[in-house]
Amino acid sequence: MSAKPGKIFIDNLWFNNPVLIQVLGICSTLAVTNNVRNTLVMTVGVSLATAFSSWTLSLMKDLIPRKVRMIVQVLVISFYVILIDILLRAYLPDASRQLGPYVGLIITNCIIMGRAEAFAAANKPLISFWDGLTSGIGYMAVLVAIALVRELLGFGSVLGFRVMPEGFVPWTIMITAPSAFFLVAMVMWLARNLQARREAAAKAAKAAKAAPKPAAGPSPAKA
Amino acid sequence: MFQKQPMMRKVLWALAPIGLYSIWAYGLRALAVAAVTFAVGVGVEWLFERKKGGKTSEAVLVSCALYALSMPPAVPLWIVALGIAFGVFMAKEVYGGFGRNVFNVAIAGRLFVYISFAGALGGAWLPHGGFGMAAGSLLGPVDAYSGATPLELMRTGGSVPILDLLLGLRDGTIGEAPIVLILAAAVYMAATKTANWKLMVATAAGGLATAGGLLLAGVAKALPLESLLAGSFLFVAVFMSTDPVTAPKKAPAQWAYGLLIGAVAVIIRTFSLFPEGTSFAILIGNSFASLFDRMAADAAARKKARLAGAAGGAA
Amino acid sequence: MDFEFFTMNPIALFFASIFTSNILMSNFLGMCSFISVSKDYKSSFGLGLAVTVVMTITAAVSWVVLYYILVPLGLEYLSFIVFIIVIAAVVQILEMVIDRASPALYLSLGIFLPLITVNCAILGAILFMQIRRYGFIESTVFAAGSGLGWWLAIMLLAAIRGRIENNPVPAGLKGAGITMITIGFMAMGFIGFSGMIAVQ
Repeated sequence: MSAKPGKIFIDNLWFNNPVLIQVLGICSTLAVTNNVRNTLVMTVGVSLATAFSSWTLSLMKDLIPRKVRMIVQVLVISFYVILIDILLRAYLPDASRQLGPYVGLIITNCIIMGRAEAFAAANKPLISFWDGLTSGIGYMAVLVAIALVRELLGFGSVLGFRVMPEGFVPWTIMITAPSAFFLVAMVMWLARNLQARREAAAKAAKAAKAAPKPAAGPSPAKA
Repeated sequence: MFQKQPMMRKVLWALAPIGLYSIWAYGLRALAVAAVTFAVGVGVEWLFERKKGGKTSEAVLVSCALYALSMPPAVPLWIVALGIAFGVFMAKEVYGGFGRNVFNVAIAGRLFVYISFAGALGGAWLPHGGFGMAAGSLLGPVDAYSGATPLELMRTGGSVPILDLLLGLRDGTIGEAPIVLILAAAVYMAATKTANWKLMVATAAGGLATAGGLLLAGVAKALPLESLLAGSFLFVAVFMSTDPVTAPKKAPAQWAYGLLIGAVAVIIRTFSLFPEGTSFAILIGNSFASLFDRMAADAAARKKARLAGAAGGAA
Repeated sequence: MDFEFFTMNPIALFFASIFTSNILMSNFLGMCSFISVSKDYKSSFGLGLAVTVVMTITAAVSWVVLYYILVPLGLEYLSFIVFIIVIAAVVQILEMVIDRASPALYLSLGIFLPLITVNCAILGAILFMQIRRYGFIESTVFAAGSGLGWWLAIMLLAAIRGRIENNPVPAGLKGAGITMITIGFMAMGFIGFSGMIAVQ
């Protein structure tokens, strides 16, 4: 399976978005989405961990015996997450403290394992790196959007700067867990509707012209 | 425009006297809250159903009425609109409309604004009586009012005369106070089989038992009888825990459901950050309803299998 | 060991970890397997049981490893990798023990064990115990409570999903979307308990 970098990017960002379509990896990050800065830090961490893990595992793919593949994958991922944790502690001690256990939880983020299994196991290192990175960016896009809404309505600010007018009453529920669940569902709904509409339009066009069907994206893989 | 639902009409009849009480207690303020609630709630359902080609249910009227009656009288009207819009949209339409919802629509809406704007709602009380004249203002911005509801008095260790509680001569949300009228509605709905009496009794029993237990354990502010009469306990026990869509269907499950709601309501209002726990209790009860039904069904199936096995052995 | 452990009444901690700060509903942990498995009531039961058992054992073992090996050797920065290895090892050993001891139990529980190694709730509970500096008793009790809380949440959700399976939910919300909304409402109810017992 070889795919073009541009197509991989579009797929990971939109047609096969890890959160919206594959529903992967929400566990470890949803908790920090009431604050845009922390969400950015976390999702950059996830993107880098995914990219480097995919790259490394793709390099090693012929050396790992099948039986211990999963544990090797987890160890490689843990290695990169420990690096991220150490870097955060050194350069962003504030964010590191607020994120608490969630940095370590990047290890069990299913997106990383998912990309390692679905893509890196069958592709060259460099393109695997790109696939991991773009998956992370697709993930980042969704979570930052959710964090924007939550911080804006929950605190009246964006990235810590107050943007809402004087009389604005903050919506406390946006700081609490339920709002994250509701917002993920709403974004998911929107994205799937848009895609379904596009698909329907494509189908109609195909029926009209009997043109070849557009190639489907790589099938979503479960970790 | 509306789909006919005789059961829902009976609930509306049962709510009518409470509505009249609310007009006596808070005057135009109560009407304004109701007007916004009905306009937004029915509007959201109509928009959704129109897209699907369905009819607006009369159940949404019941949800709106219950929601409006459970608002504090001085609540800002935009909060009223936000809550009912959320409730009808997220708790009902998204699940597929009437009869499909898992969570009580009125409670979902109320809790959304109650958690969000605890400050704004917690201080939104008005003195009751005289068709809103007691509050000194009819519609516009309402002056800050430093009175305390019986529930708040109890939390701080004060006492409340029981007769006033019974007659609804106290401050509270728009329609939670008139205990006598709520009890009359309960009898009417139980007699016409509009609402399940088991659910009401179980909820009240759960609340009484928990408050009694806490009192015996030395928690002074948990007074059993007052717990039942203050706040929105009875209102919720009679109108919300009996919601036929979100309550369990099997009798043993219904008992467990009511007891759970009563107990959780008392525990939350006694110990947690929030002064009132009834709405949370309903949502928690709703979460357990399907599981209780499933467990009751499994137990019944096991019993049947055992009986069949015994009969087979005897034969 | 020269630092202070956080101490707390174990019974209060136990209830707090089930109800007031449920690992799934307030910390979002263990959602991946939660969403895929909670479609089926029976599997949810098995997975919940397995998670509870593994969580309790791994937390206890990890605590011992952390404070008797890693901390004295100054290797605390390796804790992530060590925890993952502990989880994998416990799952592996448990699988063998159950297989030997009771084939019936293996059928109902064993098949879920491999799924658990990457369940974020397990690692999450261990990381919470590390960051909050729980003592041994607190760690074990907290892990058991978190496991039970997760079990409870997945059973509730599985029962609800059985009920709404045939609902005419909007197409874009079918499956994951409506499940998220349902967890959202459950979490909203459980917010009521906040302020009762603070875990930290």
